[in-house]
Amino acid sequence: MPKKSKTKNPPLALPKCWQTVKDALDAGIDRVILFGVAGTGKTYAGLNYGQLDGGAHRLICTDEMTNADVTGCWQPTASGSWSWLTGAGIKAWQGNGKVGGRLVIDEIDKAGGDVFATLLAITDTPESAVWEHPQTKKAIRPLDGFSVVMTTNIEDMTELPMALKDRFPVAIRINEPHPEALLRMSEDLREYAKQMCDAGERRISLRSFYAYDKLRKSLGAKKSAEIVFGSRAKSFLDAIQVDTGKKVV
Amino acid sequence: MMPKPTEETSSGYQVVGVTTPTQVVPDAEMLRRDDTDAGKWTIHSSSAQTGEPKTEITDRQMFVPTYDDEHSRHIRAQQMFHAKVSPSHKDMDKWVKRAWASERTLLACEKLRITTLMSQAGFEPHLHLQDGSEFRNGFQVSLHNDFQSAVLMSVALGETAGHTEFLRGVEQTHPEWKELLTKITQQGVSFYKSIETHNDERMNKGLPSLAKLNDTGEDIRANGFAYTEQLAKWVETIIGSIQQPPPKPDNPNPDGKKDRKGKKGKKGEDKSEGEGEGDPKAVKRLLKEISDAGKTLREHHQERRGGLPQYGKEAVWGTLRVGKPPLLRNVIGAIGKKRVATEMGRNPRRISRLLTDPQRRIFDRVVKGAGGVVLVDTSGSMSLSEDEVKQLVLHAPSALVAQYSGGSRTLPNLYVIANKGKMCERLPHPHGMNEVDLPALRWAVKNKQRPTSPVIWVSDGYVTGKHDDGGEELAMEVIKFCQKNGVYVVPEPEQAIELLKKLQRREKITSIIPEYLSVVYREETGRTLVLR
Repeated sequence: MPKKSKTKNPPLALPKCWQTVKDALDAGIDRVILFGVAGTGKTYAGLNYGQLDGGAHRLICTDEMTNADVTGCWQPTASGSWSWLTGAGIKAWQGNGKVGGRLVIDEIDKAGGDVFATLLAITDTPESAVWEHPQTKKAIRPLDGFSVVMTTNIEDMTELPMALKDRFPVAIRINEPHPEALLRMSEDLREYAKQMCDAGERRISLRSFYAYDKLRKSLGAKKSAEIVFGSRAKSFLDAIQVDTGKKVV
Repeated sequence: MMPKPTEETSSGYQVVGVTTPTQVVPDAEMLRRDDTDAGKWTIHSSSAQTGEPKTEITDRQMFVPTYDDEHSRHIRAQQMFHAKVSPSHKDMDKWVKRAWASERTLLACEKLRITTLMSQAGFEPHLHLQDGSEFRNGFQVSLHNDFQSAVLMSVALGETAGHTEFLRGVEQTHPEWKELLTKITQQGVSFYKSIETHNDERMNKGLPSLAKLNDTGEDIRANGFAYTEQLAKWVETIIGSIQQPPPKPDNPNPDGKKDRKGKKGKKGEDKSEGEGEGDPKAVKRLLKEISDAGKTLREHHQERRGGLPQYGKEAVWGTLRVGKPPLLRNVIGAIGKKRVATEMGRNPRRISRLLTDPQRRIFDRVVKGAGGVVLVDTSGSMSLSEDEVKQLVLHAPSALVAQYSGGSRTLPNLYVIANKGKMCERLPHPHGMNEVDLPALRWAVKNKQRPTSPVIWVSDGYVTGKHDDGGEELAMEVIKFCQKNGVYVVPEPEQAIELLKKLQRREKITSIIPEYLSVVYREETGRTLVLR
């Protein structure tokens, strides 16, 4: 077991992984992968950290999604004509018209083959990236300042396709929940929530802690734990009992 | 008919039938420590038998029964507490190297700390912690008359359901041990419990609290294991002071309870029995002494932050530097080898005795002196004059005489001032401090001419370590060393000379125990100090 680092973070200071994310985005790194367990605030960081004058656009990838979500699609108008509805990828390229925006892609590994190919084109280096607008036939390129933050729950980065990894030189593992997410629960549970976030197959999500925290105020610890954690309630309460040295009431 | 297929659970168990037992896996990831970061644990399913459940903190591995019953739950809690507060193997080595107590005793006292913490946290080890081997273990140690192991096992099982069974096993062969073991274990439990009470008192007074029993700070004063070390040291002192408990009475009653009840009703008989071996009074007295010693242990914790030395046992003493000034002066007297006349031999060196000695002892025989080492404490508290030291040398027959006194960083702190019939011209000037009492004693024992040669330590017992820091801990170390190695102790030079004279006359000699050592020993053990 590694020795605990001598300098402890002050209560609201950023944990190491989050500080790295902040530093990377503030320094202008424009292609970042945030990977690690779910529910730690990776998307939140993508949408809020760094230079965001050009706005931030989110794209949640699924099997069923199409290129319409990325580049755009034709949409009928009230007058009976068709207009082009720009997708999140192109919106992020164009930003506010002066500087490029931020594209936050969640779970890119879940995107289908054609969407994945389009996303590769969208996230390519600015010199290679170009897209022709179907309506205006104008070649569109990402504006300066365009950045991409990709999030995934994949723990092993070797599982990602090489082409994608090649576009994202910086990959940061997020193993702690964001401190602001922890502030939403009672103080006595924050440390447990933080530790259980990275507990492998025995991980407990922040959402479970929120639910337990809310329930225990009216139902008491034991019943709340049984409702939220089911058969795991005993070991959960015993662990708190051991850690605090007091019976959980 | 085809046999029913077996189902394999996630833990790898094969369960016959359709039902699968509920598996409860401890959430060790939730535990927080000050000295290590949290992380993933690997939990292995094991049986509940002693030795099977274990926790390896360094690799974050835990072996526990995963059944959903109170017994398994308590074993899991026990291992969880180990994961929470016990030192890792690597850190344990550091504690062992401090050498204030042996690893075996540390482990026994650590088990008691864990059980105490379990009770304080609301678990019920006194009802559920037991594996069925306790009775047999108790019977075995008492059968082999192994009191030391009995104490350690009793301490390790303290406050658990298995303790009663263990004592029942001990009782089969040594019923008189039961009360002693119970008393020692009780003192250990009281000590651990007193830490929380004392901390509460300090908080109420607005004083900063000391380390809690479950603290895991990197500094030893902020680590609860320091209390384990403290108790282990105390347990070893108590075992050493008792050595062998009073034997069982001549007519032991096989039923211990009835026997004790019988004694209560026969006070008059007790008085007439005296206080010899096998006397119930001796056991009673011993129990009181253990109680007193336990009280001192708790008081020391309150008065001196546990009296816990910052450094290991070796590091508290100064480094011994031996100086050997030239021994040019012959000592007139009986130092060294001596020739005496005898009637048998090879070379008739005393031919005149043919006429003068009725037994015609014309040959020579070499008689060696008894040897021995005289170690003189020349620190300031002794206030020895040069003449007094010289007198000691002159009265030390065939002995190696050394004086020691710390206080200089470069010069020797122990000088050999006489050996093999010769002594130095001028005695070295002492530096004034002690600092090296125990290393000097070790040197003296190591330099005995023969295993039977006596070692005489002339000292008032006010021993100190590095930077002349004193304390009961150091005094106890010196006492234990003297007891173990049969060192004779005398506080005054005149008494030492008297003892040396007796030695010359081949009379029986005994130590005259310095008052300070006597007081310290009584405080620490509740018993009277006995030295050779």
